[in-house]
Amino acid sequence: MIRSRVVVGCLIAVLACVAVGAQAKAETSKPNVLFILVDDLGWRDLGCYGHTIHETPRLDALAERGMRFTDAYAACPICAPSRAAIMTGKFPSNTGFVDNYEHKLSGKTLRRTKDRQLLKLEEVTLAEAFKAGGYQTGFVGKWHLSGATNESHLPTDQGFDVNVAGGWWGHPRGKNGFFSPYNMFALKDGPKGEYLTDRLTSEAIGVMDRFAKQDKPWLLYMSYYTVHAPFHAKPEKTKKYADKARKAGVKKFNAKYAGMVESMDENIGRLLDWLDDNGLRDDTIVVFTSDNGGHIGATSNQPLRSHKGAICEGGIRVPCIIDWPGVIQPGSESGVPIHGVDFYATLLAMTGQAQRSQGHMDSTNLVPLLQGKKGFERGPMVWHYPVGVPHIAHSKPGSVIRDGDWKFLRFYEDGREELYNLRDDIAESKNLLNSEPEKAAELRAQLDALLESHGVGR
Amino acid sequence: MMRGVSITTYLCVALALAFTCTAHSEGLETKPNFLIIVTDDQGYADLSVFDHHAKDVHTPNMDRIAIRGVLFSNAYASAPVCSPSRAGWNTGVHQVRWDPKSSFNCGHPKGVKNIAEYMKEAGYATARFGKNDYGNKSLHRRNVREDPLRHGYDEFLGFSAHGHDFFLLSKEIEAQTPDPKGHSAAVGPLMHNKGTKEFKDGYLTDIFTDATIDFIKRNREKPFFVTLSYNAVHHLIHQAPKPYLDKFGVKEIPNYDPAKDGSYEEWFKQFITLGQITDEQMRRYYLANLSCLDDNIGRLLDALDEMKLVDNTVLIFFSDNGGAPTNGAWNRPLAGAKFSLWEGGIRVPMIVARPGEEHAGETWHEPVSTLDVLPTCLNAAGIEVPDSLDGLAIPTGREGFNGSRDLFWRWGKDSYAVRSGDWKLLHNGKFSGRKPTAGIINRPRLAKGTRLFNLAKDPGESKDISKQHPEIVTRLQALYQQWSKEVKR
Repeated sequence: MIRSRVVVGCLIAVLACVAVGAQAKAETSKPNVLFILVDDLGWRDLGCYGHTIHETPRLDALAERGMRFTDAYAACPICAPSRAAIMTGKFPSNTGFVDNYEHKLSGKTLRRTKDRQLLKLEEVTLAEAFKAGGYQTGFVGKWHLSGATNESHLPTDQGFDVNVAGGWWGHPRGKNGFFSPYNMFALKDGPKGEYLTDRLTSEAIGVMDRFAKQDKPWLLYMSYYTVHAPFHAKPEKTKKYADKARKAGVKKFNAKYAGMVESMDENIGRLLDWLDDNGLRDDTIVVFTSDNGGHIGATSNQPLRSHKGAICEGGIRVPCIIDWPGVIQPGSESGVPIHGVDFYATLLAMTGQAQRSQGHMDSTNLVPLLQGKKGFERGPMVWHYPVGVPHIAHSKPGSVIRDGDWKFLRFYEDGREELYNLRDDIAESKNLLNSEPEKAAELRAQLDALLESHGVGR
Repeated sequence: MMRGVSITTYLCVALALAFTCTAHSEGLETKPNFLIIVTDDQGYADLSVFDHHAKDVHTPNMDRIAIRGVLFSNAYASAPVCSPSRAGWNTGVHQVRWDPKSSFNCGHPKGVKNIAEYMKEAGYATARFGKNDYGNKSLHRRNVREDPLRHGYDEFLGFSAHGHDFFLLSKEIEAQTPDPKGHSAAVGPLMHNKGTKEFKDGYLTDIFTDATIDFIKRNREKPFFVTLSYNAVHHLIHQAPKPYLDKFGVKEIPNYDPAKDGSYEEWFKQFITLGQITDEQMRRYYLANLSCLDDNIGRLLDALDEMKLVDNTVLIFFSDNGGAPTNGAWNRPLAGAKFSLWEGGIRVPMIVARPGEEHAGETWHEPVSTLDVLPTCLNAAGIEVPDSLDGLAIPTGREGFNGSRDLFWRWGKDSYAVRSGDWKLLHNGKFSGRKPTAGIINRPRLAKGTRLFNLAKDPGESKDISKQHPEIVTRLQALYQQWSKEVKR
């Protein structure tokens, strides 16, 4: 018996080698990727997520083509760590990139310094992986992962062939904010009064035009500065939404923000139109998401608790739509929790590229979920946010784990712990810590184990 | 047609080998020699003699050992990582007896006898070549109990760490490297008997094979006991000689250069934790490294044949734990990998080839442990097997396995596993470490929880049936509690 097995083994091995060789030669055409990241857009801010005043017809239509996620999460309740997590496929606790700034221990408390956190050059970023996979890689918009001098750690140092407007800052720098002159790095000022969101879209279209001339697939990382503060909208849009809110009887409404949301939607429409006009819509994967929850001065995240800056749902749950032509069931919706770190492994898999598991180690390949496989489980996901933002309710140093329907929070200043079943209680209103002690103990242990494995244990 | 011819030829060779073995099996007047070959982080699917082997794996020389001996499909290491697993098999005593926390730092206590000590006392010439690893506290240290010369070996050429650079073995590189003595990442000369030995060229797997052949040549007239403990196929897996890299279509990655790469640890990290190598390439590097290891084992077997020692040498082959999640190994159909108590972390390839093996070429499915290596060797050498061992001598026929044998594992302070018959209870108290490469079956919820599996029906541990069989969960939990008490004594 064993002898024949050995022989068969040899043959199979030989055949396998031949097969591998053949596979390597036959390069199949890979889809393009348009990854759209918006800044500070809240979970409820799109029509397809239930907003009754904001008008977002283009993104609503994108959701009709693709899959809309109800339980998508940003990796951090603030910008830079969330962005670093997308780039590395690692939880912020795992890379140590947990805040926009470096920290120093002052006595027993961790204090922010003025030094910006830098995305380490040794990390193999999403862009570097795509570049190695034969992609043209373009970056347009907000980067926020480099130092204050814009001399290093720029998109072009992290795997992007092209960088437009990406530097260290997190919002427009000019005194006119979203209107030219912008006074920005890697972006020439436009005519006076030009609107930044329109301009970045035109720049992106220029990049795609150039990419499309090459016989190579491309990744465009379209990272809008909008809808982050300052709240600068086109005046006619502001007026439109002020009127609309008044008629609807809605008080405390930020009409400028609503105007920014509409401009964002229009501009994403321009990108999608470009794909259509160039016959690339069916060869292009489109991902849309936000880097953290809605800002307290901009929007209400209700029924979610709190805002950007807090590890509550309002700070970390974000809109997410993925359009994968020919694979995703159009108009589908998923309630499976997914996380910002997951784009890395998922995009590699969607584009037929090899995984780099030892790099993007926290990233889960969501392809089975996108294909509609039942019973897909993402597994536990973790947040670690050791700082707080003043004036935001619950924005305190803390850690969170979500596993299935359950969410466990721990705040470090007062040692408070909370447990919620999000399926029944999306608003995090009934703390089940005492009534579900076993579940709490299980999640506490998992959280501790995860953080410990990231070297940030208690 | 060509294929038909080659099959016949191969069969003839294989049959001839088998007949040669049996022909010389009668009358063991002299003490048998022992050659224990330990591989590092080799996957359960990565031995081509197994029915379930991965399609891309071809290990004809390891398979040669299986043709001479018995292949075990249910062999287990006593721990899911190197140091404790090695402490276990080297002593035949479950290492948790002296390291109840079951950590990387088990060490080798003075009161526990090493396999080499038994052999030396019985008049054997003893040598260890390759990796010597009893945990972080003793790494790179001489004149401690963990030093092979202090636990029964006459000769030693190797290193005391989890891993070593396969190419950089000179004094010069050691002097230039800011951190030459890391845990998994070490560079510089090897430990050689009481001193060190540098190599300006050469490849570690070749060096260990050469040293073994040389020792056997020098000691062929005496009975000898050799532990050849390769660090292949542990990281840095991409370090294989160029012809092997070419064979599997992967590029040579330049060696560490202290002048431009900073610390060795930082350089090492990019291949392990930063994703410089794709999973697909990692697999190819792994296969290249494994193929070189296999050829070296072939060279060794040829040398034994040439010296006509084959018929009087006990050959035992196994991996120290399951395939690692990071090195490109495959454990299919098992789930999980090194660092975890899923089957993929603890079930290992293992072959026992004793002179005159009546069952040569068979595969046995009875559960055995690497703890059994020591008593099996003592038995074969005619040395009395002490009662105090956890390992059991592997019988020479299947009828010798009497009754059910329960196996136990503990990993860290709150993970454990029990195998009793076909049942396995797995309790994970924590995350099992790294995200594995694409070839590893990774159950999505590796975190905390108690699960029950029937390994006969479900070797891949995909269906937790603890809810359907609470009474079996209770029974296995009780067995574990009882064992925990027993090992405390």
